[in-house]
Amino acid sequence: MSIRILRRISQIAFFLLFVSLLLLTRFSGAGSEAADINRLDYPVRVFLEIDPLHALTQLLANWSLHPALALSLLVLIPTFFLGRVFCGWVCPLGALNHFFSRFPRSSRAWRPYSSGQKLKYYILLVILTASFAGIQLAGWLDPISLTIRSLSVSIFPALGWVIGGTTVFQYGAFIGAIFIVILALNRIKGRFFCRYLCPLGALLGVCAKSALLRIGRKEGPGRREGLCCPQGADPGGNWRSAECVGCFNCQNIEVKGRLSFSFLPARPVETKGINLERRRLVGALAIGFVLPPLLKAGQKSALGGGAKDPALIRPPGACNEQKFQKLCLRCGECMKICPTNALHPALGEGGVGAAFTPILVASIGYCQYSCTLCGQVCPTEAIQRISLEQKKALPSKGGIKIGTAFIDRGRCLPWAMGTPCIVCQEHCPISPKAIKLEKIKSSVGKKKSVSLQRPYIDPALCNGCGICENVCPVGGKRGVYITSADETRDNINRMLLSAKRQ
Amino acid sequence: MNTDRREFIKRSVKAAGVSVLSGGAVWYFIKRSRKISRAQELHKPDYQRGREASLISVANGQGPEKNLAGALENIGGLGRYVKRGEVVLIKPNVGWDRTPAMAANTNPELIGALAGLCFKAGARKVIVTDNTCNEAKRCFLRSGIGAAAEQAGAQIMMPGKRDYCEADLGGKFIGLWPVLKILYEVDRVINVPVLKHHAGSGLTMSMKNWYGVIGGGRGRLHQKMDQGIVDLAAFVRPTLTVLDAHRVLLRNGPTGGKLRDVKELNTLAVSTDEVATDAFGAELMGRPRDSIGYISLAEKRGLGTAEYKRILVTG
Repeated sequence: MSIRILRRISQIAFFLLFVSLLLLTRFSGAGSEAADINRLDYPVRVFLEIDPLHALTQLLANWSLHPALALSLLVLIPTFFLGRVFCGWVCPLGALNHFFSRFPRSSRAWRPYSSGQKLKYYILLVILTASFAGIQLAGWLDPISLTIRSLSVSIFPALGWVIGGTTVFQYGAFIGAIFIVILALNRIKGRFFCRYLCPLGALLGVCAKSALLRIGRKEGPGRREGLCCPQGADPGGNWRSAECVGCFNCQNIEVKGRLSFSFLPARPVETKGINLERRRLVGALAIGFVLPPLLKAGQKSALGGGAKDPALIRPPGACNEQKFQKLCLRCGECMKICPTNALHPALGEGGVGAAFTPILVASIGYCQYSCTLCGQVCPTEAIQRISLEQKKALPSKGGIKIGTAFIDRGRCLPWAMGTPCIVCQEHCPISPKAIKLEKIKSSVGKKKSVSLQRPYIDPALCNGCGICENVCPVGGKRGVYITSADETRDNINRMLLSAKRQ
Repeated sequence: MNTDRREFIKRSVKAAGVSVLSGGAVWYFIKRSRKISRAQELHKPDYQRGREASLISVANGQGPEKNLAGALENIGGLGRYVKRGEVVLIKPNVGWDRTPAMAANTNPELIGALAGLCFKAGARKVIVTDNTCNEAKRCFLRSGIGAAAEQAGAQIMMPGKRDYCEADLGGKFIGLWPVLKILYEVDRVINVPVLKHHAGSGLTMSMKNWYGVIGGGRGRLHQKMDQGIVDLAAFVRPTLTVLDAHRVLLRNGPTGGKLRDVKELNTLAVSTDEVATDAFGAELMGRPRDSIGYISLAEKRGLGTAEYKRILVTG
């Protein structure tokens, strides 16, 4: 069996593993007892944990690293020996790009190197500098984050709709469109995203530049075929070792001898480095330093308190906003697993820099009272792994509160129209109920006065789960709604005054 | 390999033809398997046909399984109501993502026991369904009803959007509304509600339990709740009603959430009359039955008698 076939098998196997783990990122109900209802039986985070780009940017942004991300050494260390085999053999987006470069068949897949391929190194530098300077952007372009996000909030739900699913995501079409464009770009040049844009590929390229496994020339006749490098690494002459993804397409092709991969070959092919231009490097550094303050200056959430975006409702267990934005990988695993379809990618909420981070949209889904799944899939604990007890406890007793419900007296049926309705109170999962009913006689909108039960909120009991907003029969803008006010993760955004004690 | 334009068009047409044909076939069979006839649609799901008399029987003091067996025996055994080869639909209350101890859902042991008895009586198939309030999978899992029903050999049905059909409920308040198709596709329906507190209607018992066989924006039905409950009760007439009062929610219903909201009554009623069942349930909770609006309204509608003591059968 040729090594090329092995590579294809590896790509397919890893892609299937990746998709299977992503499909398994759901509420399985493995244990039906209260204690382990939210247990996950599969390592669904593992592709994110082995991602060295995430590890490095997390390290630069937080000066600490979630222990799980140390797994990225499994990818990083082999790169120094074998080159970018992660890109060519493992990466699921790499596999997809590789596939769509070749099928339907196109000769454009084998286009040679162009200096534009240096763009990815500058992008990497911008991301690294920005994370050092306080804002975490790796998740936008990192291939693992990007693929998980695109499949979770767009491609899977779209396929689901065909077979009768009902999952929706705000901005899902936008995220899906980006993904489809990335795949379509392969028709212009093979592995377009990997050549020009991928910051993880750039990071691995830097490590792979002097890898031990190299192309050399051997004696004897080889295959007389044209070169077929999908990555533009030009193996036949002036080989770009940092571009090569080890796909072995050029193995045994005859170009002034037979090309062959081996460790430190006796007759290596002529090799070219990355050759970044100093001016552009300085430019990338400058952008990296300018971006964070620029994004922060346009971001209400940086202020906290009364200025906060009311729609910036984070999942239960989320860190305070500043830390959250530094830790979140924008992968969308939490959105995928949320059993009520409550978590959605943000776009403007929380500032442009927080695009694709998770927020709770109560008009679509609500935070299930006895669920802690989002924290369990988060690879960096941007959403912490909270216990069920912590989730259910009263906010005044160390419990978690993600926001507060408010009645819109102009839209609530009993308040505005004198019409009986208790749906929000009925669904409130807290005991005693955080939504109370007051018995009154009302003559609003009716000829005779009628007895009514009118809802009001007890903010000390409310945990902001949003089921009231979700089930309110007033369509569109609901008669009761939640905002981030009084969330426990952020002291500045607390609303109720209570003596804090140690 | 190169393809010229002609070849390309030829192949495209072939591919399109195959996909249209196979897609169409799949679509047709899905559609056909889900279609209910117009006659069925106009017909109300009345499973009281052949009912001999209004009866109610009460059992208490034991576990759900023994209580059920005892109460059924008083009214002639389940074999009188479920015949050999029939398909039985059991409708528990699986509204909430709550454990059995919290008493927000029907007791799972009771569902398991009832499904077992149905098979014993010769039922061909037993289906357990509810349109839950919280996410369905979590509700069926955490209530224990999913496991109990499956263990007894029953089928769980978590309704999806294609499991409903628009039907005219013919009520005073509810007209056209999405209804579970399965209601039309079985031979017997057994209602198994749990007795608990509910702020809108006072108490939720058997007639209120029919909120779980309809889809759509159910929240709107709370605007005339008593009328809505009676309209639904007039629409679906079950073969039997089994009221679960083993653990009841005294307050913070219908969700509860704390053990201090729950009282153990270890009681169960089996009846062919929903109005009588609910009247019994109200008194069990220490509420005069005329304080529950829908009971008198249902009696006026001719759905049964609130004087449950007159039809009470004791062992």
